[in-house]
This record gives sequence, C-alpha cells and structure tokens, in this order.
Amino acid sequence: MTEKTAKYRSQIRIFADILHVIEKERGNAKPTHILYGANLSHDRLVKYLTQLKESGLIEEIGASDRTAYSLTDKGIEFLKEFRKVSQFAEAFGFVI
Amino acid sequence: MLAVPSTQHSSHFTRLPLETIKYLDRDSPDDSCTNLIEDKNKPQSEDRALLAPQWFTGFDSLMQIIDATIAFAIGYYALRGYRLIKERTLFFLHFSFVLLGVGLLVDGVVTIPAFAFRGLLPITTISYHLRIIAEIIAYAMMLFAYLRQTRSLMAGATLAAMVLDYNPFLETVVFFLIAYLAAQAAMNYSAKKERNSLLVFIGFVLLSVSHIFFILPPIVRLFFVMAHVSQLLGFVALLIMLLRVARIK
Repeated sequence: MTEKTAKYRSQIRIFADILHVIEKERGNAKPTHILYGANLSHDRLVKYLTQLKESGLIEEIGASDRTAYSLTDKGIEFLKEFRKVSQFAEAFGFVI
Repeated sequence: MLAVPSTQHSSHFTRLPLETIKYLDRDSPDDSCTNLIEDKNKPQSEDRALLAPQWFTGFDSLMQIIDATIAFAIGYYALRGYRLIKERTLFFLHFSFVLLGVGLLVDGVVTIPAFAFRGLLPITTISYHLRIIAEIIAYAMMLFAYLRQTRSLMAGATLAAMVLDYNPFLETVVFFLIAYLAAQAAMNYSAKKERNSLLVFIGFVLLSVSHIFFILPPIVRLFFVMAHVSQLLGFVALLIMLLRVARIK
C-alpha cells in the first residue's frame, strides 16, 4: 500500500518474479540466475520450481548437470495476465 | 422558489417536481405544506424552477447507463484478477464496482419510462434510494479493502472524522466515503507517480465532486447537470486506466 509496503512477498508474487527472471534469460534460465534474480534461498527455489513445473508454467530443459528452465505457453500467458492485474491493482493502491 | 418537501430527495432533483406537484394538487386548507399551497398560483414555468434543466431530461439516465457499463467493466477486470491470483482485495473491488453498476443501471433505466409515464414516477424514488444505498455499500467496501491493506493511523483518523462529521443526508455520506478513497488514491499517486494511479485519483476526485454537486442543486439547478457530467468524467478516467492496463503486453 502507499504508506506501508508489504513486508513479505505473496507466493503469487514470487511465482511471477521467477517467471520474469526466466523470461529475461530468454527461456534458458539456470537455477543460480533464478535464485539471485528472484531473491530466494536455495530450498525455497527448489520448492517453487517444483510447484511451477507441476502447474505447467515452466519446463525443465537440458541435462541434469546443466539444468535450465524455460516458460511454457501457459507460463507466458500467466505472466502477461499477472502484469495486467498487478498494474490494475497498483493503480488503485493495492499491493499484490 | 418552492420549498423542498423532503431534504433527503434534494440530491436527486428530477424527483422533486413529482412530490411538489402532488403537494400542489392538494386543496385541503389544513395541509401542513402551506408554503407549497401558496405557490400553487405561480406559473407552471416557475413551479419547475426546482427541476433540472428540461433539455437535460434523459441525458442523466443515459450518463448513468454509461457509468454503469464502465463500472461493470472495472468490476469484471477485478474479478479476472481475483480468479488469477486469489487476492481478496480484488474481490472486494469487483463486488464494489458491480454494486455501483447495478445501482446506476437500475436508477438510469427506471428513470426513462418514469418520465414518459408520469404514473411511474414514484418508482424513481425507490430506484434512487436503491442506487444511493448501493453506492454507500460499494464505497464502504472499497474503503474496507484499503483499510485491510494499510491499517494505518491515518486511515483510522479519517474514519473517526467521518463518524464525527456524520450527516443524515445520504449523499453526504457517499461524499465522505469517496473523499476518503480519493485521499488514498492521492497518497498512492504521490508514492508511485504513475499515470494509472493518477487516473484513479482523478476518477475518485471527480466522483466526489459529483456528489458535492448532487447535494447543491437547490442553489443552482445547473449543478444537477454538472453532477452527472462530473460523475461521467470520473468513470471515464477509470475506463482510460482500464484500457491502458488491458494494453500492457
């Protein structure tokens, strides 16, 4: 909100941040990049990446020692919609 | 100028002539509205001094229907957001705008046949009260959504001020509610300096100004027109914000 920003990010905001980092890396984001880009601990990153994979928003590419992630069509669509909703809510002064 | 039979109706001025005509038609000498009976002999044009300008008849309904359409569009967008991210604040926003839209639509639609068939005019009083109650609930819900997020001292102080400044006139209550929302939107804009926030701020300011005008028609009847124009511009500002957001890639 305007006077007092949220102290922690909502889970949906973290998902969007991860997707945003993957998008920035042009569909070839390594876990380390995501970890720094989305400002997460390793444990939480693993947990969220699993959730995102299960919901079909991202997919794993490459071999196990060189794992990278890219956005699925569903992930691209989600990120697009999230940005709109986020801007809409922020215009009213609501934090997501 | 004629006396106003009921101050509660003063904000919605097109309704007044009905009541005024009703009172004027009474022949009973013990009628308590003596000042109105005295006015019976005035020319018809003078009796209609309390009316909104005649050329405006129908435009108010049209504007309300446009307002309602915009309110529904914003409500729909908030629902889409709620479905996507399950943020309850967006649900409150959705519910508020849908309620606003329903109130405006019912009032706007009912007024059209009511003016064509005078027998239906009492219905407009009901639709007017329906709209104003819908507005109070809708803006109160928006205010609650803001308080849920801020929980700030400022918000509490403003609420207290609203209670202390309580006014029996429903339009005044609505005005205070929107004025609070406009203040929140102003703080949001000052923090972000984004165009969308500015549009929401302008929207709420125009909506609150419209309710000042709705309270004032007994002074100058053109205020009734200005109230509707201001309300429409307020919703248009919100619509522009919505279109800007929808264009984001």
